[in-house]
Amino acid sequence: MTHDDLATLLRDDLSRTEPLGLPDVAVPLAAGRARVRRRRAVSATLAAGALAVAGALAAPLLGADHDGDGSTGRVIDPAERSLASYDPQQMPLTLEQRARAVLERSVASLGPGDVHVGDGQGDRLAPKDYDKASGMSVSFGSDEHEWSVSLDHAKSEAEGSAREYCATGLADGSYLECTVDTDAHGYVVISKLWAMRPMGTRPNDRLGFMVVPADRLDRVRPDRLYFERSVKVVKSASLVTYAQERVHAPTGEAAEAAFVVPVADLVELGADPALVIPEPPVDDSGCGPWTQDPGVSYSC
Amino acid sequence: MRQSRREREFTDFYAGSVVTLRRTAYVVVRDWDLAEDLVQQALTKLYVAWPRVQMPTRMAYARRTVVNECLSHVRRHRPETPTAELPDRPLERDEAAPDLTAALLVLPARQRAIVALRFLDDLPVTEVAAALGVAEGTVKSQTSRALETLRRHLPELALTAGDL
Repeated sequence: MTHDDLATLLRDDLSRTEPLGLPDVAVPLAAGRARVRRRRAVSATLAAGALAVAGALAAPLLGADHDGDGSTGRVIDPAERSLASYDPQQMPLTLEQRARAVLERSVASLGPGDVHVGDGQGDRLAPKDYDKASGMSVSFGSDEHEWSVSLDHAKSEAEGSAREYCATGLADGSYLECTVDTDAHGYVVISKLWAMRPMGTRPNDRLGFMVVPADRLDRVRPDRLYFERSVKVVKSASLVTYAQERVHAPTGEAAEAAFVVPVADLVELGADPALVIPEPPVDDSGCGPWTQDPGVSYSC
Repeated sequence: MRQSRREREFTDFYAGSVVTLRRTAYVVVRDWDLAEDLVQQALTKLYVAWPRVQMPTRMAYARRTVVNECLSHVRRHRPETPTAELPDRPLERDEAAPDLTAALLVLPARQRAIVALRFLDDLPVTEVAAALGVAEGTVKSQTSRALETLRRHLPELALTAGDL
């Protein structure tokens, strides 16, 4: 048996099961574009010196597009008051309690909440570093039926036209539904429904979820389909809140029947002015949000 | 929609490399769908880094990123248990052919990566070492261990270090 023999055996082994189709280049292109936009936005924000917390919470950038220019103008933000008394150690508890209070109107046994406080790379932080968090989330339930609320500083997700955001997602099939509204605080509220599947195929081998576009729903086994109702509330130039309910369901109709939390409650959670975190500090390179991993560096 | 130069170049590179990269990933994670997802994640990173990665090193960069994604996935999902679970797709295997699939499942993920890079991608030891970020000696010793294991599980193959 030579090197070539083993190579041939390996190739024969792969050829027996290898899928015929090519993976879609649109997937890394779309994700790559979004990451590039985000990096540019972070750099632009930092270069502009827009680091003042209260200032950052003053003017939503992602407009509902009432007049087509993508801006709703400055609003008096009640979240500013919450930031004035912000306690990084207390906020995870506040998030869990306020999410629970709303969700338990519809969910009888919510169970314990899993709170995650993350750095600029999404890695979990120890409590001593909570004051430098880029994001915070709480989730309840299980993979079969999950509810979550998250707060994230991500300028790329806050900027731009909300109507265009929906229109683009609906056009490429990423969203099955998407609507835009503005709440009483002046926050932009986006409600969407999308389908997803776990990465890979092995059970209990979850790395995360991949979006299933509308025109490919029939290519995924029904038992691998999940649907998520997601409410996105833009609270500032960079702070975005998501309130979500995800169900394991074979069809969109079955998912609609399985959702138990009214969209109005998700909106209430997303727009809760008490749920805020200040913009994270800059990392040593001066080009990105702080991260605890010394191996991570950003380029401006 | 009009594509930028980066997108045109990336699309060309993608078309020429994605099948090879998916095969490499598959040898490590043994699941075509997961391999595809991990390759897409790795190539998203390549897209972001595109202006900084010189053309002659793009394939090496992509391969390294794919292998890292696969090994990270396996690390995050320990314990990795070799199982006799059914394959994702029905196999029409020639019963006389050696069951390489089962034998590969017995190898640790890093050794599968070495097998993929050495024997599927036909890379020299130096490039395998660079892709995995380990010493050349480690590649050699891990290759030797992988072959020992394959030999144990595939006695019909007379694999020897000298041959390889």
